[in-house]
Amino acid sequence: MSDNPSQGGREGPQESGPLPFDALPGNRPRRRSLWLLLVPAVLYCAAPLVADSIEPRILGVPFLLAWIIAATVVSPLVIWAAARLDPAYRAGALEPIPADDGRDVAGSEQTGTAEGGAR
Amino acid sequence: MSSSAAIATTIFALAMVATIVVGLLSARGRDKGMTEWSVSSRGLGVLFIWLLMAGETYTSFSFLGTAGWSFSFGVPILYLVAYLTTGFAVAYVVGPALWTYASRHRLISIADMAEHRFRSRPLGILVAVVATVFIVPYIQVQIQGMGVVVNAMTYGSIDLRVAAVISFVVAEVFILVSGLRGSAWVSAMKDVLVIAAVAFLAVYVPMHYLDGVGDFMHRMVTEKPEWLTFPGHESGGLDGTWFISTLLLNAVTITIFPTTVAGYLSAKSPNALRRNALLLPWYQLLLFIPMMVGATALFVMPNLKNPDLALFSLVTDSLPAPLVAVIGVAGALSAIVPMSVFMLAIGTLWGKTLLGGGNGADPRSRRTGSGAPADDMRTKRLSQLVCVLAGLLALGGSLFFPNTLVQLSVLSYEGLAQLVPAVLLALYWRRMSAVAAGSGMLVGLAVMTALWSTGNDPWNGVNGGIIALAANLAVTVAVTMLRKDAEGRGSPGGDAKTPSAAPASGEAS
Repeated sequence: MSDNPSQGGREGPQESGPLPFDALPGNRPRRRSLWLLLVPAVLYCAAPLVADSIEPRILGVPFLLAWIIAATVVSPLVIWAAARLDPAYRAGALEPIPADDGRDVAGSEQTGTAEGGAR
Repeated sequence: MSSSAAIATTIFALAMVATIVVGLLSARGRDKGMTEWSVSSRGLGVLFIWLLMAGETYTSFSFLGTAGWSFSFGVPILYLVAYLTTGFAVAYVVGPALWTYASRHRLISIADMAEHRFRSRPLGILVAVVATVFIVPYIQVQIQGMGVVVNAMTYGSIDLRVAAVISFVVAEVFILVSGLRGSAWVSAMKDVLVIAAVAFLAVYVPMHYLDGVGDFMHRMVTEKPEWLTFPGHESGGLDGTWFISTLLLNAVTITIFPTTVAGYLSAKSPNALRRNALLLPWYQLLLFIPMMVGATALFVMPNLKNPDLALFSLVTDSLPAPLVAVIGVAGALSAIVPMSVFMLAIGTLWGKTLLGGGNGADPRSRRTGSGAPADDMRTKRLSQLVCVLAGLLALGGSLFFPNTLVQLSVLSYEGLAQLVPAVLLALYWRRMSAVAAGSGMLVGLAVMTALWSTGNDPWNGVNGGIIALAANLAVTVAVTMLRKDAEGRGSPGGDAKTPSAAPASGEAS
């Protein structure tokens, strides 16, 4: 993670550009809510394991199909919850990119060229 | 030509003219540079991103293949909804991540990003070529899908091949002039039609042919129970294992599809993409309708020869010509919008990375990354040229070899999945080297091809692409570790020069 939130990217010509994630106020905010994003995958992957049957029918809909429909309705709600609890979303911040921190180590080549954002 | 056919053909012709007009109008007053053409100057807000990405996910496959699979196999088709929705959960993180990296360094495609990330133009070229190999067949699938839709909606009076040529011409005209913004505008028109058509079918079809949805479910359970649990009806091994492995592989892969990435990079801000990731999953609910219509055809026309026509056969069978035409136009635009973005994506991949000399990040390449306007225009011209050539290639394939290339499209997701380490993982794993990413990718592609050509895909139900991706990752990790040991410890640099500064927000406008 970058150690220096330097200039905070506020000099964009439009309305203030998005902040780098590390420049968010607070002591390096955590994004635990992103774990919620696994919920859709878990729900769908569980379908053939725990719901592979016609009975019981939910409002007449066979169980497997009802499960998938339910997962499709629940998933956007869960993604919404993940976003509401995500400090990056609330601040409209940039996504942290580990490869951009300590750029000189990255790759096997030496970079050397000007890299500071503006060419 | 019967009067129904005449009405339908007229409506179709008007719709195509309207499409071109809307597509061309979108370019008015816009910048003419490469960034505008390829990623709409990174200026699209939540609404247009939503329209564009909805346009890309709801393709002609949704009308043809979705109903067809539902008719032939049953529940395995649910993988489509499953991976698209899961894919948006992945995209919540991946979309803003790719956007951040690309806008910070002014990059416009996945090849451009790989070249910059690894400081290696050869790797960028490899990414561009592999992506192209697996996307051109996809364009052909859309062209052929368009042919089938138009032929069905005009009651056979427009020939398949004529329809293929029309779709190519319409898509090329607006994509060449207006670029990605053109697709977004046409997509607006398309989404309105699709939502209206599908909502109508949801109510009409079960009421017309059966006693409503309740009766439909009852008859499915009593008469066609085989369709309702895995592995479905005579699906050839599309069981639960296949469902899980395919949904996981596709959910990750769709987030780095060159066309999806074009959508990401055109966003105005990372939050436009995050918001999109919570809004677009709702759109997937619409996909249940063609599935239901396809299954309804089981009771109405059980002897249907071409399952892909399940939906359109019911539509032409039960509705008056003007409504048939409107639904057909929705289907046709569902082919044209993704097709145009696919062609644009290939143009962008080649125009900058392969033919345009790269982005200058590779110290060994000629270009120094000057942003001179003449240079920019040259890149755009080259991209447009490739955009036409890729379309022509796919059109030629659909006219003369309708079955050869389409086979490749089955492998599209598995093939593009092999780009995930180089394009996505590399942003999180700083030590990954170009050699490691390249060799992993090649091994992954080799494993995938071997499994597929020996008839072992799926292998015991497991999607071959996920096995190949595992091999790919193993090689990437191994090579990175070995090279690191050989080179000794890298310097712990990265103090003042880290590019955490401005994300190049207002570029090119």
